[in-house]
Amino acid sequence: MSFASPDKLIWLLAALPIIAFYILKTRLRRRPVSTLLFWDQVFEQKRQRSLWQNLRHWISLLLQLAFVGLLGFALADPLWNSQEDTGQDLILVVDNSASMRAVDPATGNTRLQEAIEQASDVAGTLRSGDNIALITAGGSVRVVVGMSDFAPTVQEALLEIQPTDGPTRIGEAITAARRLAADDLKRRIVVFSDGGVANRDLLTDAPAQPTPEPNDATAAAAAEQRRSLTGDDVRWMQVGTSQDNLAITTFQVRRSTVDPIGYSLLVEVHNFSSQPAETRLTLKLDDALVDVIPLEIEAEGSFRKQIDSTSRAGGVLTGELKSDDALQVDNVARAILPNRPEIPVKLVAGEDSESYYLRRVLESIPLVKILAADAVDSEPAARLTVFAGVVPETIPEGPVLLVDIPESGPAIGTDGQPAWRLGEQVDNPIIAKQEKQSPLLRHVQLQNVILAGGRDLEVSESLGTPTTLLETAGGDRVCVSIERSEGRILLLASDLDTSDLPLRIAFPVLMTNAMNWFFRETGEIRPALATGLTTDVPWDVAEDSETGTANLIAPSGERTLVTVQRNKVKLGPLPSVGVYRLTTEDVSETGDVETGEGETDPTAATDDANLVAVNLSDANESDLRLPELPETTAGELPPAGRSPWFYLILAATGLVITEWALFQRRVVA
Amino acid sequence: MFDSDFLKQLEYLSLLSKRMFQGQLLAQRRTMQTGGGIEFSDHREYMHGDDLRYLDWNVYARHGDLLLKRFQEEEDLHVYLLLDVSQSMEVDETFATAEAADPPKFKLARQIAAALAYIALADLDRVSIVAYADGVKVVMPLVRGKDQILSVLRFLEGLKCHGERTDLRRTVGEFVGRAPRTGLAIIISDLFDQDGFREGVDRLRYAQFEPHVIQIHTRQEADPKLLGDVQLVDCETGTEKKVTVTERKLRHYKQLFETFVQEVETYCRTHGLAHTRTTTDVPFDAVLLKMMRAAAVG
Repeated sequence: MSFASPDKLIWLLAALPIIAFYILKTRLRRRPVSTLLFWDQVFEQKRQRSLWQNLRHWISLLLQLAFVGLLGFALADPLWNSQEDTGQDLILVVDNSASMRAVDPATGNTRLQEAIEQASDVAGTLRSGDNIALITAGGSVRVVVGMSDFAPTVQEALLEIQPTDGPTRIGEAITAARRLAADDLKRRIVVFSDGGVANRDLLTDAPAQPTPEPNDATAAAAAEQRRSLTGDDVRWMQVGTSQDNLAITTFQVRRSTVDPIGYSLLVEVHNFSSQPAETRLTLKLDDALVDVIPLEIEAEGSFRKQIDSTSRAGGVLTGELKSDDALQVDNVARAILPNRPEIPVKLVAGEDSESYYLRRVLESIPLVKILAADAVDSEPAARLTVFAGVVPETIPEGPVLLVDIPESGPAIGTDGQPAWRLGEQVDNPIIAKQEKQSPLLRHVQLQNVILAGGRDLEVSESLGTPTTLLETAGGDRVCVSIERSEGRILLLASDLDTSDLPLRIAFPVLMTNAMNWFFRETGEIRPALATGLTTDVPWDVAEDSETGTANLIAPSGERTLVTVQRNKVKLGPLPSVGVYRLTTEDVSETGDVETGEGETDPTAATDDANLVAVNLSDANESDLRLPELPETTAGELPPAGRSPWFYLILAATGLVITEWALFQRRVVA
Repeated sequence: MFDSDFLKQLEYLSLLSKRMFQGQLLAQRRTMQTGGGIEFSDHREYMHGDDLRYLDWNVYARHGDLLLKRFQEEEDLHVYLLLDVSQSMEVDETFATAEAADPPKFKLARQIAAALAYIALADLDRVSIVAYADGVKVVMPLVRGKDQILSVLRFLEGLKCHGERTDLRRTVGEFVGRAPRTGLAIIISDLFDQDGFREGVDRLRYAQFEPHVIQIHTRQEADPKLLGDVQLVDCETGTEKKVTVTERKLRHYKQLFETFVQEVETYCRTHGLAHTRTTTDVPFDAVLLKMMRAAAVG
């Protein structure tokens, strides 16, 4: 054993005045009294104890000297043999995931508060020569304080830790901690968590085989995961108490594929308890009540159901459990239901074209409203212009659909080139090639179909970016989509009146896809995201090839810069549940928290296309029952957690108590 | 110590004593002896040699019996003040610095002695003061008359505490031998007699004195504020005692002291002696008033 601060041993000199005082004290106070008559009677039976009286003064002196000695050695900070050469690198990993929001009914504190309190105590044991770091493991791993030898910084940072709604990332945090402190001998990782990690069985079960078989990939992966969570350098400090919980673990909505105004909601409620539970699930679309479902869920069971309903209007669909359990964040889930606006269509038919099928198909598409031919200005402006058997002199702005194209397109550009050139009539134009990636041809199969009246379309690049959708065996491009800044164009060179295309099921599907494509309705599900995940969300705001930035406004009003690329925005990991809003406005103000009214509510925007719902949806976080950590995961604290000086102070305190008892016996007894 | 205010208080006490006792105190008391007084007591047979002036001629004229008239003799009382001047009367036992020091017993004892002497002299009694410790130290002979009060005060002021112990028995032995006649013997002392005070008082009673005990002690002696390791020193004998005083020991001490006080009271009550106990924080006039009230009730 050695001393970290041997110069402090000078405090042992404090024994000198004690001895001096003792010598002075042995010269008893002389007290003259009128008579010893009474004192002689009082003490006449105690004469035989004079030896003990003298002895106990010696004992008091020895106790006091031992007290000073212990304090002096404690100040010198003695080191165990294992500590003599190296200080330790102490990394505190604090779990601030959603489950740490659970409130302990006994104390009224959250698990995170308890964890912070314990972590602060551990940080207080830092010795001279030690380093300390702080990592949070909720939602995403974040190194709050890097390696430092100043514990108060960590203690202050601990108080600033906020709970997140994200999942537990203990494994990643331990990995990060091991990278932070590379020296295995000095590294001590202390994890403050409730143990609500994914695959918590890895924590509770002892490893079946220390060295898994090489060909057992599953066992090897489990062993690797176990190693990432436990180890000789990791100590788990479990916080909280086991509690029952009800949680919405799944909440997704999508528009119906068959009913344009219908939608399907998938909801799952799980009972994380050994007792059956009763509750009520309230569904609201924005503020309108949709349904109230009474639930009776058996122990460890779940309620899972698809709920179909209709609503043309979109909005935020909210499901809320009536439960006052310990964790509230998983009692509410949200999903974005896309809006279905009415689509006014202006149909311009040629003189010799009846466009019967086209009109009927368009009318069959819900939300499509074909404007009268003599439409006046008071009616809603057409959002889509359809030309059937006729080519306009100029291509109007906005989405344009041209079917049964009789001639080349109008001249455009400075050189007067036609917008497209129409090829010659083709005999038996069998579709041989179909663009599979295009959303226009989703669920459409036209290969080997004879497209009567099909002719080649050669689109001028000055019109826009063409994409050939259907191509015959002879290489004739009979269906072309064009990306144009003024609006998308779809050209279909086919005579609908003579072709059997209108009689095929593919035609209304193609038209429905075209409607979605024109108005950038992808038709895909816009899933409610889970906290802590990183994902790409479709957001059709620009050209496919364009890369830009946008602002993501959190439910709290905080703005974050996100990247938009190829109509997809990269999000996550999102720390809290709620409804986020994507916007391209005020991108320069990224990072500032909006304080103005109206901007703080992400759902205030009328367009729901840029809303993103985020839920917890994590069974591991909602399961508030604590796993029983075996000894292997509750490894030893570093010796410095109980430095020798601690025991010295303890012994000194014991001596003080003993001396106090002796004094009491001498004076009061 | 004996200033003009003190003398005024003495005068006041003297007047008060006359009003309270109306001739029952000191020189105005009748003795048990018959003799040359003026108040008729009884008759006896005439014997040869009797003074014919006291023959009751009226009885002889009526019945023919020779009876001699006897009268209650009135005499002036001899008051002996036995004042304890041992070292214990002047020791300062105030250990706790926060507590106000008790006045010394010796001062109060001399004040009480002066007051009693004044009252006695004012009633034409004879007063003698005997200062004692381990024996009779100083004696002021019998004086009479109020004009002697100054000499009494001077005597008291000149007294010093000395002596290695208190011995009332030996003192009484010497005193009885010297006293010209019996009378009232007032003992003013703390009664901390190493051999006990009873034997001395008993000898006074046997010698036909009327003992009156005035016991003086300090509050500190009754309730000492003393804890821890101390070396107690007997101020008279010089005996040292190293002790560790605990709360329990203090309680034992107080119990013993209280028992001692009760024994004194019981002894005096048993033998019909007047007993007055006081502490030094009580003014001397209050002590005198207390004595007077006790005498008036008795």
